[in-house]
Amino acid sequence: MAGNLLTPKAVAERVRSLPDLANRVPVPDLLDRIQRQGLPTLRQEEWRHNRRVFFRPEDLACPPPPPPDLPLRLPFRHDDWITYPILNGYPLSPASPEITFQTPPAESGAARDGYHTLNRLFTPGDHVLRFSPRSPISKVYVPLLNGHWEQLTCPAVDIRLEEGATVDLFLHHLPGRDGVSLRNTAVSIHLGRGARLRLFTLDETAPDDQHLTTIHIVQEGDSHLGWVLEQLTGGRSRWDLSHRLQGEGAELELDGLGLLSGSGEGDLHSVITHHSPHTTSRETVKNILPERSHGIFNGKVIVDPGAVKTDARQSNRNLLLSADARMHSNPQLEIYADDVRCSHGSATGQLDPDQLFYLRSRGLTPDESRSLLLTGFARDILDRLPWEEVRSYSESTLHAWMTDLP
Amino acid sequence: MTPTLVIDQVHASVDGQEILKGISLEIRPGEMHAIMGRNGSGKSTLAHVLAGNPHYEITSGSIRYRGKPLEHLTPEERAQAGIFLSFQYPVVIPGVNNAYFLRTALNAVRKARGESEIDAVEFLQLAREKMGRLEMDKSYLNRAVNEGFSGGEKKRNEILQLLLLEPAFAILDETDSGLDIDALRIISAGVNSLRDSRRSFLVITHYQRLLNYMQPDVIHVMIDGKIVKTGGKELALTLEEQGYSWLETS
Repeated sequence: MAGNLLTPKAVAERVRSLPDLANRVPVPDLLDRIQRQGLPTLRQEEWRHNRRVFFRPEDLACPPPPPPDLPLRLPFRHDDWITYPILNGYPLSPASPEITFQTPPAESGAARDGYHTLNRLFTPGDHVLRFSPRSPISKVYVPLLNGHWEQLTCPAVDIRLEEGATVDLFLHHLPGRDGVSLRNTAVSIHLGRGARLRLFTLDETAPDDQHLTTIHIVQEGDSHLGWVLEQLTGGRSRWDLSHRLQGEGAELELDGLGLLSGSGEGDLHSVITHHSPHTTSRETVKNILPERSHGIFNGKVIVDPGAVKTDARQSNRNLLLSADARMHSNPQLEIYADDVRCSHGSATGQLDPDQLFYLRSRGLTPDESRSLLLTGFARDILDRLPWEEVRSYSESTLHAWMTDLP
Repeated sequence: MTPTLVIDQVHASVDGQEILKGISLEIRPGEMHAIMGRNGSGKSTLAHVLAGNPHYEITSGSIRYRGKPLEHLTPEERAQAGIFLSFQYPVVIPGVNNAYFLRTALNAVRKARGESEIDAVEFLQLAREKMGRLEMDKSYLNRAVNEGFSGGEKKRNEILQLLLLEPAFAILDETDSGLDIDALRIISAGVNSLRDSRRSFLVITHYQRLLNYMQPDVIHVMIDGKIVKTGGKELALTLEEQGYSWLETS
């Protein structure tokens, strides 16, 4: 397997066979950057609980633009939501004042890690969603999908809410259907002063899929982000979040739910930095792990010097449904300011036998009892979705997931 | 008439420790029996053994319910056959709506009785009527099962289930603990409304005061996993005056 590892050298070699790339991005600069940053190995702290790193050199490629009349099968549709599909990283809809596709992609000075730079190297362009308080559209559904393409795609989405803007966004990673889905996505979100974003990100993977999402969020003063992140994963899903509460009074509520299956892997690495006084974060992450699935929660909260009156709470709760399932939970606090409130907690266990007996003593079978308890555990998160139509969609995915449990 | 319940020399243990040390008891249709005893005497163990809690193991003896062996039935089969346990410590189930839970439980039992399933609208009507009798606020339907309920509210929710499920045999495990006099009166009236010539009850309590409201036919005293004394109503009064120690020495 060693020959298949994705190393900076292997990337450089691969890129030599893809001369088209040089037409759209500064290839030597980006290769240099990858060389400096390196690409993860399982020996690194941030990767040591993963079973494998993501992608192989031969997965790297430049997908062609999709034909404009491609028929799409989208699982979610609703009249209140503008749909903006992204296929193999390309747009399918014409540009609008709010949503544009920018090529060449921005160079992005904020170099995060090698995978992010890999996205910069291979992405066909940046989808820029820019909203002001006067924007006529307020609800956007962005499905990301691959169309008959089994090599890596690198979509890039850049969301900017200007001061005082209010937007609802549903970002949906669709799984591979007719073939595998390999996706290395970069998302950046900037919330201006007083902006409010309600965000649902749903990442679905089928058994051989690999979805890696690097997401970078900055919140200015008095902005608010209510975010539900669901990982419905039979393949591999990893989210690397770096979140900065930049301005005074910024608030983040992040509710995460991992519903795993088979030998799927669900991974959330989050770093939430409280940079200014009176900033608030609530991070609640739950996972349900059946069969041979594998969950990782690595949640770091940093309180910068001077960020007094920070209020940060984090909790991670996981249910193991099988003796072969594994969960690695690692909450961390780094506090460099006085006068702050920070708490974190982590609990991993099995279904509570007292709860099971209580339900069975009321006539429910063990299967019905388990379903009810799992639904309750998951609903706690999904009920945070503020839209009836999206909640009912997520409930249908929950029921489908539960029906497939062994 | 076939007795509702016949317990014959039952020994039972939890985690390898014997708690019930040879219990025998017979309850006939229409009867209410009370078991009194101190903490740790085995009363709750008996309740859980009857409801089929897998944590408890019957090591010897037999239990017959309406003429058939009970030991090999699962908890849900017992519930479907008409056995109901009102828990001393009702379990909190976060995220599960109380109305949904109650309706699911009712439909599981109705299905077993060969009755049709009840829909959400019919159920709401029925639940509201029963809640009215227990002076329970309707908002309890929309909360998660027992989540944030006070001790007394949890007990009312148990009795609400009793009224909805209408079991043939109900075990009330310390339903009176944590209740004030008013709540005790309301809950007892709810229980008494179900008493008829066929339905049987086993009431477990520390205190004689519950028996002022529920009027059992037979009273048993349990000490160290055995029934040491059986009598009528007057036995409860004697216990109230003299405690349990005169029985321990006898």
